[in-house]
Amino acid sequence: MTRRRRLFPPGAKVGLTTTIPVEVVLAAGLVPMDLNNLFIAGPAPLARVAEAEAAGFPRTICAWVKGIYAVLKQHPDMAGVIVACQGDCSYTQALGEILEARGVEVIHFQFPYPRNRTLLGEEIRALMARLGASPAEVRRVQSELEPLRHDLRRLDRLTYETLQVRGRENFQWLIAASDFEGDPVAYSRKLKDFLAAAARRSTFPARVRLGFAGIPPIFSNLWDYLEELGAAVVFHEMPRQFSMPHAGPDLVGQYLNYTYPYDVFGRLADLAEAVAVRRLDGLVHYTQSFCFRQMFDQLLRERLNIPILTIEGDRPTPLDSRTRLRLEAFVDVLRP
Amino acid sequence: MFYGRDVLRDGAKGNKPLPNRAGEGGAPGPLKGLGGGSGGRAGSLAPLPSPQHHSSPPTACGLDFGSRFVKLVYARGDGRWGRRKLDSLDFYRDCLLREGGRLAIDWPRLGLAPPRTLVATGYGKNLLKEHFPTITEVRASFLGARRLTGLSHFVLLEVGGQDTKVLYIRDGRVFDFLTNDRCAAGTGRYLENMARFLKMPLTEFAQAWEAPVDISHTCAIFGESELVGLLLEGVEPRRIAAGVNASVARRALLMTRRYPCPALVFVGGVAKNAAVVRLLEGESGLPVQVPPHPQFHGALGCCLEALKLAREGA
Repeated sequence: MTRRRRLFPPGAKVGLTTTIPVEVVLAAGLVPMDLNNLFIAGPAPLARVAEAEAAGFPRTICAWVKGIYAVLKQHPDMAGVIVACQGDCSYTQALGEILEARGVEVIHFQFPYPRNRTLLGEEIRALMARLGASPAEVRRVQSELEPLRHDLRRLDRLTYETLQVRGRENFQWLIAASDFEGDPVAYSRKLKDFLAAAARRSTFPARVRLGFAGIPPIFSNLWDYLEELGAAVVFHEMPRQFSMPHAGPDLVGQYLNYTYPYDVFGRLADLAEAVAVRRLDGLVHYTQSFCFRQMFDQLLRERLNIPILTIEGDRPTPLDSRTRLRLEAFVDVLRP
Repeated sequence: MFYGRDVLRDGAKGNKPLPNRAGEGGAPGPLKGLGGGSGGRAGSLAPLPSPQHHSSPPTACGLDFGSRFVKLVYARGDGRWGRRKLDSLDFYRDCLLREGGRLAIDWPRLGLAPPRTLVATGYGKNLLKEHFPTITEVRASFLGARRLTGLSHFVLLEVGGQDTKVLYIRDGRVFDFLTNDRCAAGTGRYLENMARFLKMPLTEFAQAWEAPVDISHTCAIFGESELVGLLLEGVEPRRIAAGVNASVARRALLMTRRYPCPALVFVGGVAKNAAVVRLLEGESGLPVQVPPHPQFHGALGCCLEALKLAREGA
């Protein structure tokens, strides 16, 4: 048996700028840390954005990218960062180069565009080789994660079928599925306890069932405000995608079914299914200021037969008064 | 220009000047005829006649507290409808009673019996929301316009005293809406200010559509400076008025054009400006539908909601 050369020692923390095949990171014995989650769930995320701007990041770029940069500075123990330089956005690609210039060990990962099984397989094998993960270890991790991914699908069903899981909870559990908070075993245990408690709850009395399309909203009090209005959020497009709702025949299949890094048509099919299956009354299209994905708004409106409200967020703050008014009016016209 | 169903029509033909109390009349039956009402006059309320005791007092009332006018639509038990329009400041000063932290409407002063249910909306909604059920302006506009037009697929353009809204209605549902609620540019306030500046009565101003000059600023405050320049160049005031009306139409169309729908319904106080309607039709190439009493659709929406509440409570 040949001994694999490892880039990082086992147990080292590796930052992620977006969801990538985390099974490979875990199979290499490393601790994945999604920098988006560290940023938004950490103390004072708004201060992180200001720090990045003070360091020279322009006002007119995505706040998530600035948050990732600043939060990384707060975690000097991060051994390296995996950057998706295709399938995410050009801001992240530039961020990767800035990090390299600052001496950070950057590992590139490319989701092929257009979606391509062969190329994705090669890319995953390259990542395995770089991190030192064997195919057998990756297969083992994937099968060990399967019960956990199954529980995440159950969590999602308790959100839209029985309304026992609230919108905020659905969002937080699903976005955390990109790195399992660095510890899949502990995360899985916590999730089982949560599901057992949620299954005993009563149904949320929703007047309106909403879905969210787009990247994770950056607003801090979105769900509480919508619940005040009597609206339940029973679908989060991207956070659900991060949890890998469609298990593939193998790891490559699983990440081919993942919609986020590929063309908008896969997203549209996923959204249309959610509209029907989850009996949505309306869809809120969350767009991030300065993000190229804002351009897809027109296609969502053309292709999806459902009322759509588009909102835009910039920084990690509570909802501004204009967005509150728009959400209030949207819920008000959707209710019976 | 096509005028939709006259759900709120007066008993007599045309929109007659209205007495300052609830009038009677209108064809009987559900949602037919809306007696009394508004007309051009919305002056001071004092002195008011003694309360009128109708055989059928209002069962439900919708109140749209706009930035310039308060509009009321009420439904009577006998199937008749009534409407009223009052200056917002007069209403605020003369018709709201403050009793020990409570806010109430002085119905006798309005010459109306208190309705069983009241639903409010509009600019002044926040003042009332602790005391009465309220709905958003978007819902009120949607419910009222859908009822007034009988349409289920249309673009609703509403230009009021201080804001502009566009609703895209498909399958009888609101699919999207846009608002410019931060700025009075291109609204009724802008038109009023520009008419005053040109010393032209609003009725004359609202007929000016021919040979419009090009006007680029629709700011309610700073629009005057552009008009000064045009006057000094010797441009006829009527052409300037037409230019102002055209700028309002162009600005509104920027908001409506994103929706793929040939039916454009125009409401709000500015829909009474025939020149803007004509210019909207010219610029868009589409027929513009203005329902009768285009200022009352929001109050009608509230009244329909109040009737629903009454049914649910019954």
